[in-house]
Amino acid sequence: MVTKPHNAEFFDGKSAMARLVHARVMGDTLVISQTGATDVQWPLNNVELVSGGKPGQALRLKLHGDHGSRLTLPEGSAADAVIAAAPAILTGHKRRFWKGVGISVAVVLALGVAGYATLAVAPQALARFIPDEVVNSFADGLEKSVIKSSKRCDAPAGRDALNKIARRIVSGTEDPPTFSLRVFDIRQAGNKKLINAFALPGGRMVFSAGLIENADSADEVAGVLAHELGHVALRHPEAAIVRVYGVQMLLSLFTAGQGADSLGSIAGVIAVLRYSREAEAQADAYAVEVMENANVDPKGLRNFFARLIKKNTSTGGEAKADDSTSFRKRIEPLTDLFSTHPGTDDRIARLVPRPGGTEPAILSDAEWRALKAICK
Amino acid sequence: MSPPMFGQQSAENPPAGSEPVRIDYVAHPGLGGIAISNFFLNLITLSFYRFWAKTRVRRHIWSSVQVNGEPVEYTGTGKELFLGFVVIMALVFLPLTLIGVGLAAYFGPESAAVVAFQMMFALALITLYGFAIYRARRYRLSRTVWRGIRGALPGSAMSYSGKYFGSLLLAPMTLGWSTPAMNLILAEHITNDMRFGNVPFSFSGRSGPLYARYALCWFGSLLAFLTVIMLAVWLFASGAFDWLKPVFDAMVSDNQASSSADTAVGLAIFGGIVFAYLFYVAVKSTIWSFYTARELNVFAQYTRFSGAGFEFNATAWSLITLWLGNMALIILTLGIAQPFVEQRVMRYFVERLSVNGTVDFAAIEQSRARVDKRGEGLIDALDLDAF
Repeated sequence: MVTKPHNAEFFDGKSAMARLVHARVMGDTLVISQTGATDVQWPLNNVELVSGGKPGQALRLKLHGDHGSRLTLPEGSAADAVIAAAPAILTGHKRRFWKGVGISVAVVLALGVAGYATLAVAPQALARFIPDEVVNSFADGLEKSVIKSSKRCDAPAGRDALNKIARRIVSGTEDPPTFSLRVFDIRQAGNKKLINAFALPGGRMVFSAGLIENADSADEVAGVLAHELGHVALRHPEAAIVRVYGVQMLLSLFTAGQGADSLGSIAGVIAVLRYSREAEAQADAYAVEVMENANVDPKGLRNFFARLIKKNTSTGGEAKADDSTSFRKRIEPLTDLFSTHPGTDDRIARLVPRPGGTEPAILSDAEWRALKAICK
Repeated sequence: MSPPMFGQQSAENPPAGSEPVRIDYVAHPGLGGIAISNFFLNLITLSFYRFWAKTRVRRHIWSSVQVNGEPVEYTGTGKELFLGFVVIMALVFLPLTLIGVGLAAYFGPESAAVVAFQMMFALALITLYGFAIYRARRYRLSRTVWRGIRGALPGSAMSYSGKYFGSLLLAPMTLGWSTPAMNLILAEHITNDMRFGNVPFSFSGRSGPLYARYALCWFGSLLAFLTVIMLAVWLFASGAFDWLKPVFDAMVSDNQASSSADTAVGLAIFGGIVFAYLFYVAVKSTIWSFYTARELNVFAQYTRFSGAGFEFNATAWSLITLWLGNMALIILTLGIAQPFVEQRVMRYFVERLSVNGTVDFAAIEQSRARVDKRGEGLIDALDLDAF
């Protein structure tokens, strides 16, 4: 296709001088000719729209990749002729628009995947690689947030009883993880006794005095201990450290470095100590196995959970203790076991009591009374 | 032929190719669609579309500005802005965050090391302000094309950044009185570095003519501040805030009783900060408009390009109405109308700017300054972007 030459205005990209030229389409080329200079040839499939293109508008064009030269065709037949020869010129901006949308959506999806990896996959995998110093400094901070100024419960007879439970729990297990266990008289708002147990990084377990006082038998305390031992063995607290730092890093990507230290806050502590349902189920499974090996009936743990749920419901607490998605639950202080150990109803179902009831007792009555009095 | 000499000569005796210069804002439709689609795309991409959104708005607004009937063109792309962001994140913010996280992990989240690091981090960000402003200006000039010729800012962002940091330090030390002098130094620096094609802009003048207005606004603000304090004291004394007490008590008793005094003080401080900020914004946008108008006009007079001088016709009242209109637009549309705010600002500047004298455009050659492949990452990260 060859059109007749049209008058046009040309800027050569070297100076701001306007040049009057003739422009015409010859085949797939836009030929720009001026007197006294060689023709400029623009391949039509490389021509881009600068502005115009609608009826009544001058058509401003440039060559892709060339930062300077511009051609202005007056409205009417000149503009129409070029558009007729290369209608794709008018749709270039649409392609550009969808490219922008595509890249930004892809970025968000990629960040979503990175975020999922940070939350769900990476922490558990990286947990074993955290240096001991980091684990300990982190555990120190968490311990402070959990026990605050609570009194340590360390009556010798009670401590001996607790040690006996611990020894019994690991008795059948080869190569159990190293752990320490201390009891503190932790109170919550209104001076109410907290009923909870924590597995902090580095194998540091903390039981609240309320938990021991609420237990009906040594089996129950042993069950909780076995469960927390599961967290320790599976490195859930260490994984939580990675998770918290990962979330901070992602947050700082969005906020450019601000808001990067929520660690000291209550929300930060909960975020670290609150495990996923999968983690709880794994710790339960570990506990059941350990109890089997130690010849301890999982019924104790089951009873303890069941009684705690009943207690929660009757005091007007949340009817379902596994309300894990509730925002309130997430920001609430450490009120009870379920604020850090979600998903209890289905968990109880999986703690199957042993049929026989032939297990040797863990503690004698005297030892059990001593344990109950560990805070006295 | 050195460009400044050229400018002086042409004012006396314009060469044959010289033209007078006329700048117009010729609005064309399409910005509404851009505003709405940008808003929703930003929403679904958690704001990652913003680089392309900005680019579309600039393309539209730039092309509405006509110099001697020929529209100005914005040639930047969203990808360039996005890559600028990625590079700044990867080279500056991610390493710094990793160091901060490492320190927090090793020494504990509230340790002295972490506090010191955070303070250094904040200080480093402040020293980057001037750098970010200069680099953003350079990017925008290099993507602004008229008659096929682009702008440029080939100077050193570092030396500008030093002056900028100095102005930030001096302002509180002099209770603000260094501002006109430092603003002049900054404007002089960046304007003298600016080029269209190979021809530089030039800026020369003194800050003296700014000080009468500055004094007026400074004492005006002081008066407004004292009036508000006295009014507040009088209102408190006369019991005008008593109705707030039950609300206050209710908020306090919601928290733990032991810390109720702390909470009350905290709430009072928070309320004070919010009020102080609103007061600052109000004073800055009303009283200080008298100074801003003067500064805009004076700085325009100090600026020359080739054989042309500039005149700007800002008034305090027009700046205030511009600001009020922009606030109303943003608030009433929940931010969707942001592109129209930018359009209003561009229009304000274009319509009040006039150019006297002539420019020999045919003699202007293409800029040979290096063109950056990316742009504005830092200013985006620092959230300094004011169009």
